[in-house]
Amino acid sequence: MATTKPGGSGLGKYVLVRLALAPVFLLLLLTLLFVLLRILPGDIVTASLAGRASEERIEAAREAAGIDRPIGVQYVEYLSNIVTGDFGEPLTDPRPVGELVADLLPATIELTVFAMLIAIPLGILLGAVSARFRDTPLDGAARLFGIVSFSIPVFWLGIQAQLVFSVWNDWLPTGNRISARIAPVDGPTGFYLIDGVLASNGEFTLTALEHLILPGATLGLVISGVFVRLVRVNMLQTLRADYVESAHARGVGERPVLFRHAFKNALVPVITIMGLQFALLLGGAILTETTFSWPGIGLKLVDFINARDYVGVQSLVTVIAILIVSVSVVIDIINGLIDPRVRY
Amino acid sequence: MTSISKLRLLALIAVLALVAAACGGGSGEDDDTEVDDATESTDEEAAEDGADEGTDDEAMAEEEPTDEESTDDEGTEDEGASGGDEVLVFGTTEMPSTIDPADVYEKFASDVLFNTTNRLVEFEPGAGDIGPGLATSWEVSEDGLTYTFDLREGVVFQDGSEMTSEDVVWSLNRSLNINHPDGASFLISGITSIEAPDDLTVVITIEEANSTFLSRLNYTVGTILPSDSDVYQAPEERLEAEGEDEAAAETLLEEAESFLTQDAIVGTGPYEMTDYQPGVSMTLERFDDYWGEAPQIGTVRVQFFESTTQMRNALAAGEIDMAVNDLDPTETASLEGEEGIQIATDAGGRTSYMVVDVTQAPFDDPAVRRAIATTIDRERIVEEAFEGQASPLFSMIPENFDVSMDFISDIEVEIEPESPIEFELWYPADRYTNQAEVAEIIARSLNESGLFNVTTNTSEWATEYSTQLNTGAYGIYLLGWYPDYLDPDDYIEPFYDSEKTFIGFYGSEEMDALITAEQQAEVGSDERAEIFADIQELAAQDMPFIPLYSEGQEAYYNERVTGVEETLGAAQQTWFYVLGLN
Repeated sequence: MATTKPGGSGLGKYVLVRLALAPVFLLLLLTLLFVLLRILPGDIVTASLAGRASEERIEAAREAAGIDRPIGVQYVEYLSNIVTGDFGEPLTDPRPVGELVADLLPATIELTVFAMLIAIPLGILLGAVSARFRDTPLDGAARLFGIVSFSIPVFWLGIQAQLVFSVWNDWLPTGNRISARIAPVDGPTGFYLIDGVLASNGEFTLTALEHLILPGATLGLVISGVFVRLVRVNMLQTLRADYVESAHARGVGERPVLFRHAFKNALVPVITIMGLQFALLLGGAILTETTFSWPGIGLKLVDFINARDYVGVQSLVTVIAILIVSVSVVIDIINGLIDPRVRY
Repeated sequence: MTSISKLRLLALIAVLALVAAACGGGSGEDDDTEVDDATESTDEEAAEDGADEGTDDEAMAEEEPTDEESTDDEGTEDEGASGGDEVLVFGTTEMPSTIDPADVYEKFASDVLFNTTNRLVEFEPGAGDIGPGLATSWEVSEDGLTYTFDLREGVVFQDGSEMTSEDVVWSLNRSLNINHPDGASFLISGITSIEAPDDLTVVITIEEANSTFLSRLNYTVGTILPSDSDVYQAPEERLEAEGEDEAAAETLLEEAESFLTQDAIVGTGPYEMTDYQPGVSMTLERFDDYWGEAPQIGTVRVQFFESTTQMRNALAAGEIDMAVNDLDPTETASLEGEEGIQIATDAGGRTSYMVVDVTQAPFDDPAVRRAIATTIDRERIVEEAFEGQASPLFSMIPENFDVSMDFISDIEVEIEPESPIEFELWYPADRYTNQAEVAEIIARSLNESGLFNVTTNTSEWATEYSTQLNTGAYGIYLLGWYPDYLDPDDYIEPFYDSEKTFIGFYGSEEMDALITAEQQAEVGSDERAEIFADIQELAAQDMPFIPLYSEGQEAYYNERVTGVEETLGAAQQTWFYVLGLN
């Protein structure tokens, strides 16, 4: 951790460096992705056509998909297409990529935000309690929760939740974004909750909310474990820090110390991780989406991978990469604003 | 901080809006994209219905089916979800990769087209053979090359235009001219000309006589579309690659794609697709001007699933009313105890078999191939790997065809090897149901005979297996088949015909001659049945393919759904229009 001269110039420079590095990271990410996709054996054409296609038809389709051209040519074309915003057309989905992302991204963001709304308060609460009552049974329980929830497979938890809340008791729907028993609303934003409100369709909005609960809570529970451990560790560190000691020495009460000093400082790394988690979640809600048939980016990515749809995988992962890099930059800048120590 | 208070304000507004919407009851319930000129009574009903309905799984409609009402001239308003009509929710894990008839070559997308569009000839539910569709009758010339169809009068498309011979000529030419490399235009590629002498007559000429031609016309590639609609475009000429190079091939695919329509269907069928959100849902509404009998169920809404486990749970929880074929044997078995869930199966058209490379040892000896075929314990496969939900198969033609005959069971083992014959049996890791188990059972039953020493091996379908079908890398391997058109020929030609097979190890002039004879004999005639018997006998002699088991269609449905048995059956098509709801 490098120190820096206090003052605005340091911050300005820091932000500039961050922004300048973003495209570099992105290029690295995209190159890695491109290479990985080309190293993997098999291709869309044999996967989808094998069965009744003649050799000639398979060959023609391979050529049409551009799979047989020199890898350098493909790479340059891939990058130049991204720059011009042309992601190509997936081979196994009727929608062009732009439309695909517009359809899928809101679903993933809706799920992710809902999961975060559950995970963050739960994680902070348990983490703080755990630090405050260190080495008591309460602490043990919170830590156990942190470990178990982090290591439990999402799909297993999801299926159990479906059984308990939907099959055995008729409390919540098993999955999907909306019930097929009510008329679809094709709103302007793609966020069902917002579209339902805009169309002043109460039934649709409430049904969408009902459908969010199970997958959202499952995902939220799983990622809250990370926050519990993180908040706990950071609180314990700051409680031992100099300024807390001196506050104690000045006779400041336990509670103000805990909240005014320890807690605030403990949150800095938590914000970083949250940002990172959020970025990863955008691509990492895959298992949850699959378990609950939640039509987001993660689920579509799995479909494309299974179908060996290069164009589809490439376009979705590119979108995810751009999102992750953007969110990371924003988080870095926010942290730079909050905590002068992170600037270099 | 100002930003916080702004947020609060926003949140407050949102909550208020929610409350208002909830209290507003059915005011905005009938929300749809179409102009709604429903009568007032319908609107009121809708509001009432909508207000009463939670998302619970109560039946959505009145006790009595509204058959008579359905023929009322109410326009095409969306009255499915919240109107006084019934909704059937159908679940599937198969999201169509295309819904354009020129490109469709997959099960569920075909089913959508079978419910929303028509072809010249159709399978009649329950009858199991070809009957009238948009053509009421037809004549075949003496030489079997010319088909003259008389079209049904007064048929309208879902865009309101009238269906005439011009549309038929245009539609079939469209499928042939788009010539999509992933589509099924090869099924009707034998057509040399399509003419319309008058508005209600169509004359089709084919290259060589083929008694399966009508069955092929019934596949979705033969769908009749409106020629003067903005929805569908067609090239003037047949699209062909101009040259051998890759650029030409790429241009061909891009060109073919450019003529496809992926967000709408306009046909003459009993249902109209009014909404489609890929991966989420699809809405089919009863088409009021349909030429045939009006379907009982007003709205069929398809819900797409990713996970079969969740779909099984959604069935058990009553969120969906019906699904077909998508569950694995364990999930199906676990449904059997669920209250209110029924399971129906038919004799199956899906087959599983072994491909044998007859050009390499030890399989180049027909006696070895016959010994393998007769030694395999098919009953054991069916019981252990499929919990009884499949049937043993002793011919490549499954038992739902009368002409299917068993020449395998009676084969005597003629080989006496000094030591067990060693070979490797390959199976795909991730395609078809329970292949690892199937391969193990086959290996065990062969090894127990003392004649063989079989080991199993596997590779991933997409990356490896599917690329090795014709290379000879796998001397003997497992494969499955789903029929394209309903005729025993579809289980013979793609395998045994030396010209048209997609597996290139076997060829015999005698077999080719028999296949040509079968294709020129009259469908359903004794003569044709005899030729099929000869074909199967020769196939059992030469044994280039070893049939293993067949699976039927499986429907899992809520007991409220009626008419399910009618849509099961040889045609392997799911017809929503024969279903009802109690």
